[in-house]
Amino acid sequence: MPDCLTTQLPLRLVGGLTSGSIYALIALGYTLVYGVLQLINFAHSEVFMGGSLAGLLALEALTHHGAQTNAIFLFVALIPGMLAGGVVAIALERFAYRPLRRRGAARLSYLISAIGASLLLSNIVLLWRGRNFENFPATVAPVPILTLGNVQIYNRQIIIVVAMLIMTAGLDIFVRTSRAGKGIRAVAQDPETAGMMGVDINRVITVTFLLGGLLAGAAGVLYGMFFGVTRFDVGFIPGIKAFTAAVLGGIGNIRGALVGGLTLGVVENVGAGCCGNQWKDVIAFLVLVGVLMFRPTGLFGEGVGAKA
Amino acid sequence: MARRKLFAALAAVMALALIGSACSKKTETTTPKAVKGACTKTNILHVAAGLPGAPVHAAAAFSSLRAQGSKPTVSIGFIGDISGSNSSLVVPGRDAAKLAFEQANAKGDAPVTFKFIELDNKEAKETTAPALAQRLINDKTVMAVIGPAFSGETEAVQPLFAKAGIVHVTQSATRVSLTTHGFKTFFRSVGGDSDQGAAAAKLMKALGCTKAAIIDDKSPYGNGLGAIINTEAAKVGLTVVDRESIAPTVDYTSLVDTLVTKKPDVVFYSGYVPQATKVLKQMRERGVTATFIGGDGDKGANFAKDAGAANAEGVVFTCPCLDPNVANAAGDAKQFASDFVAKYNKKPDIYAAEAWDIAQMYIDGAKQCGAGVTRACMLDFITKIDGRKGLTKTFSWTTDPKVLHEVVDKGVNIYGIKNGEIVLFGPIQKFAS
Repeated sequence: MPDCLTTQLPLRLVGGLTSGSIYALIALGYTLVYGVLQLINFAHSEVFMGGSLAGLLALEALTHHGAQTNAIFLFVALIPGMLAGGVVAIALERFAYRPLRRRGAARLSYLISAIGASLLLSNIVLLWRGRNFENFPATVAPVPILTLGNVQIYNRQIIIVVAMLIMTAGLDIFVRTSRAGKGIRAVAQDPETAGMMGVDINRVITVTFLLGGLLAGAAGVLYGMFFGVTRFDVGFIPGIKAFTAAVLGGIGNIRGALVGGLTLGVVENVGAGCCGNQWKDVIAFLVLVGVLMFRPTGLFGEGVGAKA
Repeated sequence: MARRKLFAALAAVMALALIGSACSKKTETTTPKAVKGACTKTNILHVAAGLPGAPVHAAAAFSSLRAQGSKPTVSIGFIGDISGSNSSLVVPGRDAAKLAFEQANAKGDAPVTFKFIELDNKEAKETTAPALAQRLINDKTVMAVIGPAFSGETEAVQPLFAKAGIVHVTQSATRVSLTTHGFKTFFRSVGGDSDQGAAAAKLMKALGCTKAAIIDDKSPYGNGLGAIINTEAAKVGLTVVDRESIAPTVDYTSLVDTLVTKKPDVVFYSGYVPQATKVLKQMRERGVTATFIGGDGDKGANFAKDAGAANAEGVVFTCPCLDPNVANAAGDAKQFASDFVAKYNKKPDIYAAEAWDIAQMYIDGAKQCGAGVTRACMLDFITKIDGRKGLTKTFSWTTDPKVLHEVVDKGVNIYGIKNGEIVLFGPIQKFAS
């Protein structure tokens, strides 16, 4: 048996779960929007980028007068990061999708509008911030706090995984129990009937985009904390990985996005150990192709309304 | 069903979009102590036999003979990608050469007045270079040429200059084949990729490393250099525990996992600054303490800032170049850097010192040939150069027709980061024969 499946496995699992948590947070945005609108929001990677940029600017402002950064700053930066994600997501809905919805446009039009909006947003940031990577002020210093066998688990990795679990659980509870959550499920199941029952569809859709944006914004800040950089195109790879994760778990399914994200993170990291690190992205997309061929509805099946 | 088809189509498009993404960048800069890392000899200064300053050459004569009447004009050509996407590798050399001729004219001790003719071969294309070369050949005042800067364009103009009998010395074209055609008019004043690769392997050995990881960025430069180091490492008896080519990305988690598992005591990253700093940072943050060595593409002024000051301390670079900007620069290199900054308000970047050396050869050639300087006389002067001290190295040419006019001293220098600044540790010969 290759050592990637034996001695290296615990190490690869930890790394995979960390990356996978980021994917899961972004994937939730894809899945929520898909559940309600049957639309893939391909500009969602820019929501992630917007969140990470807002986190960076907030941290720079906080450290502007030479203040020493510390872990508290990370949680402070999460707020503007999430808000920025939410604002970008709502703006996308308002300007890129709603006009099309009003006209009853074909599905392809949404896709083109999404790609256009994505390019526009990343190019605005390119012109504004330049093409060089910007360094995140250090917030949480990396410290190994757990040693399991030969694997050291770092505080940052735990922060990412725990933050993801808390947010996903919060979202799940929100969608299942709150009034707005009921609205989301109602529109997901049958928008026409929901409308006739007095659900404000536009409001529900806005709330859906907002939720996805908040989570992607948080993911952007956590990503910046862990990898230490951001720039205009930082969302591209995590964005398509998260899309893969959402499809893997069953698009439209909240728990599916969580499991899909973690699974993808682990599979690509373990696979990279077995086949060589240059194959990491290839492995991720082989997973996508495999899922689409053999189980197109994903591991958990589709539908916010039915399963969430 | 239609939805599934749409997914499948989207997935295919995204997979294609992902396959094939690459990025790059290049730069230089500045004083000395310990190499951080796992290799046995952690103090690079102990490995070096001694720490010399930059090469020093004879001080220029102060006597300023005022020109009596008008002097004949001698033109020196320059061909390179001055305005295209590779201009950051060419413009510093252009600026340095221009400065050299301006200084020579101001001093006025040459029997001629120098005119600098720069021709922009945008994007360094082989197809457009010959026409530019022909313009220089047709201009009877052109006695010598600097460049071309890149290998492809150089190969395209070598036969033309050979026929016209015009000497041309390149400051930066490194393709091995350039000196194998037997053109008597062509000279290369810089070491090639293979020289740097061999030096890097020797350095790792000299630092007491035994297990190397050689990572490149999949670019033609990074991958080529990585492959040479891999071969050379085996020759000097190092074990290469990990050899990988990974396209530029932000998330190097899986690579770091491999390094944690394979425990190399030295990591060579062959690529450019943005990726090298990310790999180093993520390595250190996961407790990998291996010595980190980078090639010339990694040696950028922002390295310590991007990788984090603590992570960057003790990083080592190999470079077939002389960087006059280092904090411990001395003698003529220091003078050159300060003159350059005074004139252009920017630091002399990559290949500036190399082009400066060539310009000085032509200036001395014109002085020796006198007011009636000819192309043949200039060619003869350059050909006979043997043991000439320059800023970047001591110049002598190979005379073997199979490898003709390759500079003998490749000038591979070892740099490192000390107190957050880039410093020169000395030529590779100080560390390994």
